[in-house]
Amino acid sequence: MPLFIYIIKKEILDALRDGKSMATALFIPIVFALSSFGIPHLIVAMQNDSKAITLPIEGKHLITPLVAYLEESGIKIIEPIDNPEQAIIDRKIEMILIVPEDFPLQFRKQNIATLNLLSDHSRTKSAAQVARVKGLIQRWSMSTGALRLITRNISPGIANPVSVNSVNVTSDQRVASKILAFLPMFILMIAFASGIGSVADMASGERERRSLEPLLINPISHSMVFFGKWAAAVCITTCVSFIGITLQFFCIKMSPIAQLGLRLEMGADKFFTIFVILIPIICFVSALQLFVSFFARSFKDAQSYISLIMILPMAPGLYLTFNSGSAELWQMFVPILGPTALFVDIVGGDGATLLNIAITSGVSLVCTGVCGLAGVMLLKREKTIFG
Amino acid sequence: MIQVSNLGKTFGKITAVDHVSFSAQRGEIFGLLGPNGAGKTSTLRMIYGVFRPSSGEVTIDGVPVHKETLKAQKRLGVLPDGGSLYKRLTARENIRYFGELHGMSKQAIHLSIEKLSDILGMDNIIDRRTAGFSQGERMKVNLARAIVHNPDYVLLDEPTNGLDVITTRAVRKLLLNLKAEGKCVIFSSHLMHEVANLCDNVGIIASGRMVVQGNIEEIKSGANAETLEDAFVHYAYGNEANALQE
Repeated sequence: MPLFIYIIKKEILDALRDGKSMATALFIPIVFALSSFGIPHLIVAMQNDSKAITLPIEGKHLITPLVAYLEESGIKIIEPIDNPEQAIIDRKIEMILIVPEDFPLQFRKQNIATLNLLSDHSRTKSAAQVARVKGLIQRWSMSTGALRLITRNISPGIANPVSVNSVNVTSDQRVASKILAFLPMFILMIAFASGIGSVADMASGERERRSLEPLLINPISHSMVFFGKWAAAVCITTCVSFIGITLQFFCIKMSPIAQLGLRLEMGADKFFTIFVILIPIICFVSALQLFVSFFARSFKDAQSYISLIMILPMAPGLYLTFNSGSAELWQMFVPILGPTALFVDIVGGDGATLLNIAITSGVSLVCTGVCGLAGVMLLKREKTIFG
Repeated sequence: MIQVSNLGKTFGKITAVDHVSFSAQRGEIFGLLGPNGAGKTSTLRMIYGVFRPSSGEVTIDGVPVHKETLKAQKRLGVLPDGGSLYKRLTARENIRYFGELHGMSKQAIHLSIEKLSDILGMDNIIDRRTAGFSQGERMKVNLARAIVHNPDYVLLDEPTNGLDVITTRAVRKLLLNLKAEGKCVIFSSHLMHEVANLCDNVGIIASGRMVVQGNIEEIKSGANAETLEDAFVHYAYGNEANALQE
């Protein structure tokens, strides 16, 4: 049996018995799975909240038709309260509509009649409710204006010469996938975070414990030692990533996305494709983390450096947030960015072509080779063995 | 035979080992003595192939260590200074791991562990995880791990340091067994009585140089000393020791 197999066996056994590392490795997939389950629930809850907007109106007897229109649109009209400005600041009410005394006069004279809608502009929670009330008042104002024009035999089109008809050409899946915009980054971060504890332990931890020197006295080459440790890290990270992706599958399946009026198909086949694309990234990440861990002066340093590598999956995620669209060929040649773009496409329903998967996997494997070679060279240095 | 010829090692401007030469045969226990920082550990590290010499050469049965490191390491069993165990593995798993890395079969590893466990008195700890082991228990497992593959040459860096009487006896018994089996043992130590009782030949290193080597009697008579300790002080500290005594 090749000797590196024994290193893999030993490292996996050692990692499995390291309760703290394993708990840390599983913590992130569980937290992300709960997020995937919780975020759609939160959005549904917020939407349900928005259906019951309460609007106090001061002087509602002055605008009875608008009050009726608002009530028809699901707004609950209540009596005004004293000192409304303070009430908004104290968060007793979200907003108040104040009808000036001269409103009926101005309205009848067909001048511009002003209504005052008081709210706290810094409060993001009430922004959607305020926008909805404003929108309804605007719509009532426009239809009233149109009726006035019709009674004068003037086409309402005079007041609205141009109308923009917004047509959505993207698939329902792509629209719905926006709710899972975080998913590609979650999956990459699971792959980056799963091995932090065990990789640091098997490289700089081994040196700090002074067990690296006895290991290297055995008749096994430095490259086999590095390869064995790398393969063990890949096995551990792949298993944790598989658990993470499976949890995502079940959590997204159970989340109430349909209640938002969205149709999102995230079947097991899509998660399987994501997992297949993830494996070369895991190879790359493990080699990079192992290299960094051997480079670090101590176990603590190694954990800090490896944690910094966590920024890597965030950068493409942010780029794709501001430059979203279907994956482009050049992106496949950029490590991490290519797979992230493919994940976005898979979640969005566009899928990933075999060519793109092959290119991005090839790039990840080339990066793995470079990190591996650098790691072996590092391991051959006396300074690396003895610190 | 282990042949060390003109071995040198420098770290930047510091010379740790300076043209050290000696040889050790099968069936011989060779003691390497020297004060702290004299270059004993650096010399041993070059012999077992983790340090690359700045000059000179080491051969084991004619195999040059730094050209054919893995081939040479197959012949070696090494207990490095301060070498540590995997604390989440049991003593048996620690020993088995090194046996596997030497390409031993499962059966051979099993038999070897049973034999070493018996010699070193490890029956009560062999299936316990090594976290929390005493220094003596750790040393026993380290020793067993170093020689599980029944090597022809055994290098031990301060094997009896900090051990209690019983463990020291077990180590002494093991070294004598190895000698009786025709193995070559090189060990470094600070303990003069240990060296005087066990070693056939001794080399004293001071400031990176081999200042004297030979059998115990030769070394004592060369320094005109009654004990090995006096001879060691004479060779290792020279005038400095005389000045301190005055």
